[in-house]
Amino acid sequence: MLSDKAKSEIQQLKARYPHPNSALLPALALAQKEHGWLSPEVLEEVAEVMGLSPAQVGSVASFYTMFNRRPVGKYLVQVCTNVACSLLGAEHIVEHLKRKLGINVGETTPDGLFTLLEVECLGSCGTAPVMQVNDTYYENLTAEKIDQILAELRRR
Amino acid sequence: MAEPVLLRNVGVPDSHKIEVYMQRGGYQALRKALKEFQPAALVDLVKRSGLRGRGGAGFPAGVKWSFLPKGVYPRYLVCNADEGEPGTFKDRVLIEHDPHGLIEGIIISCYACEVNTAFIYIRGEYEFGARRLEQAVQEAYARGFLGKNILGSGFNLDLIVHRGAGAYICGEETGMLTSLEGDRGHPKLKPPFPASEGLYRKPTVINNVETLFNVPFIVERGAEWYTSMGTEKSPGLKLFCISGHVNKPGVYELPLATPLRTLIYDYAGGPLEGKPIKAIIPGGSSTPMITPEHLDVPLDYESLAAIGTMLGSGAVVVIGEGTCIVRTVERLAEFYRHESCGKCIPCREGTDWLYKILHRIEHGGGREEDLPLMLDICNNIGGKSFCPLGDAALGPVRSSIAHFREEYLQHIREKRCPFQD
Amino acid sequence: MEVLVNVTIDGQQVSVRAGTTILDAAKQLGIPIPTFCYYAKLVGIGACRMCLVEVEKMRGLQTACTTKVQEGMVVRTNTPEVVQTRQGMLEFLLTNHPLDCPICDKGGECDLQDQVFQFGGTVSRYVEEKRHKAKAKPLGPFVMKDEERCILCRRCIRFLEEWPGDPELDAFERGRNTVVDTFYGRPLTSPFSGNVIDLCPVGALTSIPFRFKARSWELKRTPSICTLCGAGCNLTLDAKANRLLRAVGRENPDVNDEWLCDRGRFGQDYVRSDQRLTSPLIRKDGQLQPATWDEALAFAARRIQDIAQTANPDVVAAVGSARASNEANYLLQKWARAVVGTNNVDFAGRPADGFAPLSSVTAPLRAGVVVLLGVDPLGDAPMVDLWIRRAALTKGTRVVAIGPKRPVVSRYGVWLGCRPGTESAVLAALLHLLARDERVQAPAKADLAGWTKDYAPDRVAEATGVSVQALKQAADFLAAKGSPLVLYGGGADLSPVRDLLALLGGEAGYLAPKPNAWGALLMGVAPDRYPGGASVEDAKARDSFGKQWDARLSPRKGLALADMLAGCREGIVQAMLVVESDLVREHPAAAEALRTLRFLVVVDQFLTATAELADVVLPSAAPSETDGTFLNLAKRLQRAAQATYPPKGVRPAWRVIADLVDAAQGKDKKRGAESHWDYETAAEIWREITRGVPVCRECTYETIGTAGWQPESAAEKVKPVPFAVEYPVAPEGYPLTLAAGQALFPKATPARYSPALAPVLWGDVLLVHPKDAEGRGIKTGDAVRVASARGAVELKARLTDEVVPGCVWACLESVAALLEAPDKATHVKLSRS
Repeated sequence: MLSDKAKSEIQQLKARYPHPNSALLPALALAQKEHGWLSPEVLEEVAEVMGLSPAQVGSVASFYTMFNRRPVGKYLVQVCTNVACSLLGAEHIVEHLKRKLGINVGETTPDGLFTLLEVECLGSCGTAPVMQVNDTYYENLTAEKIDQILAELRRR
Repeated sequence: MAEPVLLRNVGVPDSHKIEVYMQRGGYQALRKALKEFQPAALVDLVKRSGLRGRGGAGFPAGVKWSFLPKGVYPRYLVCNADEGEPGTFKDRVLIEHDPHGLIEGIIISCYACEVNTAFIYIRGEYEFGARRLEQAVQEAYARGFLGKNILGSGFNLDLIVHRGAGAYICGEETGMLTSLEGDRGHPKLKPPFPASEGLYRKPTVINNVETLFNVPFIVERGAEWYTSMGTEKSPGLKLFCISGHVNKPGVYELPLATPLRTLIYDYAGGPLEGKPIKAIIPGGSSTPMITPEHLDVPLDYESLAAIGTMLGSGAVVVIGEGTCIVRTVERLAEFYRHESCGKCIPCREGTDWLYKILHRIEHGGGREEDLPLMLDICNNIGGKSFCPLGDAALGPVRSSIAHFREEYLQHIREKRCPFQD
Repeated sequence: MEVLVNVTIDGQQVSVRAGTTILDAAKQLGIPIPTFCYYAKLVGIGACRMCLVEVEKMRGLQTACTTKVQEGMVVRTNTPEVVQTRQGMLEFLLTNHPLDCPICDKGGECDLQDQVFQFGGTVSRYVEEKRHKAKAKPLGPFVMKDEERCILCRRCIRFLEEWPGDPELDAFERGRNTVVDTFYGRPLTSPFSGNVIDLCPVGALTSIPFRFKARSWELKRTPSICTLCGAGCNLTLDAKANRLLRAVGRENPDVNDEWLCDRGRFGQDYVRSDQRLTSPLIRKDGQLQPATWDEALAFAARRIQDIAQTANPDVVAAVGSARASNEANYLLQKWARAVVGTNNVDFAGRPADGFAPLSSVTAPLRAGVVVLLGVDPLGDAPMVDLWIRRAALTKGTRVVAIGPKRPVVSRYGVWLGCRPGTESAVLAALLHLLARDERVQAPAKADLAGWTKDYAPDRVAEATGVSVQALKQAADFLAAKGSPLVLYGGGADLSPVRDLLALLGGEAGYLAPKPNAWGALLMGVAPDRYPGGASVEDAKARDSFGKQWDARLSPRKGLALADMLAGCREGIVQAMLVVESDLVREHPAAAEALRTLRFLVVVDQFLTATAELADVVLPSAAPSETDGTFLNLAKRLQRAAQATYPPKGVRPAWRVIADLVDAAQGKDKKRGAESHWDYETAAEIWREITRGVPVCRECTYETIGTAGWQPESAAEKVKPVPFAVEYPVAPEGYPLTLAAGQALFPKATPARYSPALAPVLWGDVLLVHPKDAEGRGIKTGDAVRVASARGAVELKARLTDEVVPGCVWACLESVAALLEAPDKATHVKLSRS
């Protein structure tokens, strides 16, 4: 359940804005950071602290792609397949990752380490192809580079 | 090549730190603005500079500011850092390498617009950039550039870095406001326009990162300096992002009206592997693509409009020979249907339908009547959707059918993608 | 001053108020502009793009529903581009619409069907796979959702946000995947959820009880009113093959706008209950057994006659009902007075002397603060609850709720939770604060400052259990906003209420929980007054009614209901005729008293707890099966019209009474013009009523019409009155206080017989504060025994902080037998069974 610390941080966020509702996106981000994903129970708790209905909060959470409404692996691997990355072989990057991780896009490895997703433009077109693992960007990707990155992540 | 202005701090070690920024002349423009200018004079200065919105629409910034209704407070300023138009990555460079440059621009702009609370709405994926901005904001508070009575001027400003969470539509200014209000990023009805009723239904200025970033330079160097570059209607400097099939993709700072060829060949190192250029998306994924016959077009608002496309965000995507245009357009159509917020019928249903047809053609199920059908669907979306996203989705479809009709017909005739083995 | 602007639409000129939308201006010209998301009573969002039109000098097309007209504006709704746009939008909508119209309940009244018919293209160009979403997903017991049919107009979402303030529905996911849903598919709990069915322009939200029962065009539609509470909401009753299948809201801005509560919308089907009585019953060998009408009427008439003749007419009593129509109530008292010869006429829930009706069901809209004095409008009159919510949401109206149970609407203000029976003291404390508040300026201030000196907040807080902080907040709302609307219930003490009005203005009204309390009173169902209100001791009135009714009328006041019941045990009352009143479930002393009667006749639709005690039971028609008029809690006169025929063997109550008279006068006596009991229709009774009741004189069924008729009432000038509060003292051994009220879905007659309401009916539940449960080892769900000096009942406990410590709460029908008097909190003890 949402920690008391998170709840008090949400209260602080509410006070930071001219209107408390503005704190909803940061509050959801905070809750996700704590739990890895936004379960119905967590959404309800956020709703309660925010003074909104669960439907309102659930609706907002479902609008934004960065809010996970299902559990994800420790590493969320998000490969851009939009135009610039695609021109430079993003599909091959995805295929390589699928093979290496043994999962399809949208799936999580059985060890719970990796979830693989295709995402829209990450704003890194000059260093395409690119992927984001959790908060970190990996640019100018090649198959070899991916192998190194995965090995490094597994070691952590 | 000329000494960089907007990118002057990029590549400088620790350029994101306030000490470095200040050593390199940072926050001098703010001092000057607060000391030498009344707010109205600043609005006038920016108006005279001809600075136009760098987010894509190209609306003159000073004119936008002057739309704020007199005497209505509080007012808000929202910096649009929700850079999401595929092909665009210039704001990210500024945010990560020169956050104080942006903050200084915001402070001066807020002073000009008599705003005491400002927001930077940064796309959620830019976690690193958001952290840099947060740090920079803390530093600026510590040095008295933000907060109460800034530099003894009596002017107060709070600046909040607000992260998005993954929605392209929040780059649309009213979608951004709804999102900032804690809701789904659905665009709002216009009128009322944000200048009169925006965030929390209060007068609100919304400017792109690059737009605000220009402001301190204009304050320091004057409007005449700015208008000495570019053309009369498209004055000043622009950041161009170039990506795709070129040797040196990246962000380049050039005066407006620099020819496209110069950008591609002199800066971006020419086509990748020397492959001939097949098509160019000149200003971000929504701008209609052009063919190499227009390589000499000057990169400014008017010249690109004259050939049926747009300067947009200045994001040039070069597409080399050997690339399937249908596949490329299908991918863009997929993007727009994914990002359609779903509020209005034509965008929600039309973008889905377009994608499904393109997907069918690319996978061998095309029919000749699909081309007129797609153009008809475009007509039923164009100008009818609630916000510009619907129109944005049409650029690639219409322009590709206009320039690459034969390639579509080949897909249809051969019942396969000719570029797939 | 109203500013008018001139606008030209399709070449026609019209002058409209500035601020009018193009859509409304076009409507005035009779020019149709199709819409989906637009709904006049919801905030516009301009999302569906159906209403795009051309406006000269404006770039691109404009939404007619949100664009305001300007002087000289030239609009075109018939250009090729507009026509093409409409076709385009409809084509888009149909691409993913399932087109399962043949099995869709909305068929025939579907905006999408109608607009495609009128504005759509002729061929489908869509060859792709349609998107699939959830079909037939129930959102609770009433609303069925089909996501594939949904066009995402957001009317349902907006209604729940903007009217009841229950944002339970919202859009989930985005773009093409967007669906309207509750949070993870939970049931809707808003008491007004059914309105989303009426609002849905397609078949995405349909009624579970009505599902697959009829095609809309087969329905016989009857404009009528709801009779399940005192609000009298206007509705349309839809029947097929003489079966009442559906109720939908009907527009009346002075009553329910166009909304219904879920009790009213779904509860009307009690008429189709398989528990309906369809034959008279006579008690033989201790058992009620079916009998013919002739047999039952003759028996009843003869027995009553015998008893009256053996003793005197005053041993007979007649009990009318706030549930029955004016016509039935009128005939009942006429029977008692003119046929039997007694003034022993009364009914349960008769408004006490000094009680006033509300100025309107919509009165909350004009209030600064709504003061709930021991009542919860959600149970007593849900539509009033909706207007309070609407006022709070759109006008910032505050709620001050005084009483032992927390009403939902107190979320818009403050709940002054106090022990039952101490409400007047709490009001006194508010007066104490207001009389000392600088913001309040009234001549009565000085008087009140004196009278209320013993009611300082801290003292009252101690005596009532209310918090001082809450008292101060309530007083602050009242001082800041003024114009209170005080709503009170049956047992209210009006002195402090009058003082509040003397200080702040505003109004106060009795929240009559039954559909015709004011009507039964006006019809003379009272021991001391005739129809229209004249005293039975007034010789002139007696003479006049005597002439009209062709009878000698008794000059003696009759017995009031409580005295009748007390009189039963002593033989003062020996026979009783009860019409459509389940006394046993409403009145503490009833069960015991009625058992001691020599003869009891009950007329009702069901074998109620009261009917079970009868010697003769006569089945009567429901309001939807006959004609009748009702006077709602704002004394608005409205018609409940006949939507179906009564089941075979069932007669309207008014006819039963008339038949009883016929039976008494002998079967062979031919009814002729001279008979005063020869009514063919309810309208004839109404005509007779208007002759004797001055306020109704000008009023016919035609003038009442479908919108109702509101007689003018003059606001009375309120003078402050001194008062003293008595605090209830708990007798030894009875440490708790029982308060009784009504739930949204009460187990009272007739709602208890509704099949649709069955899943949500309030069970035999007792609300207990956790503090009171703790020492007694009581948990939620435990069977508990609650006992007063009068008796004991067993209920299921539910622990909640909705009630104050020291108070237990139950629905009246569960605990009527325990109460000292109706509307009176009673001392009880509580234990686990």
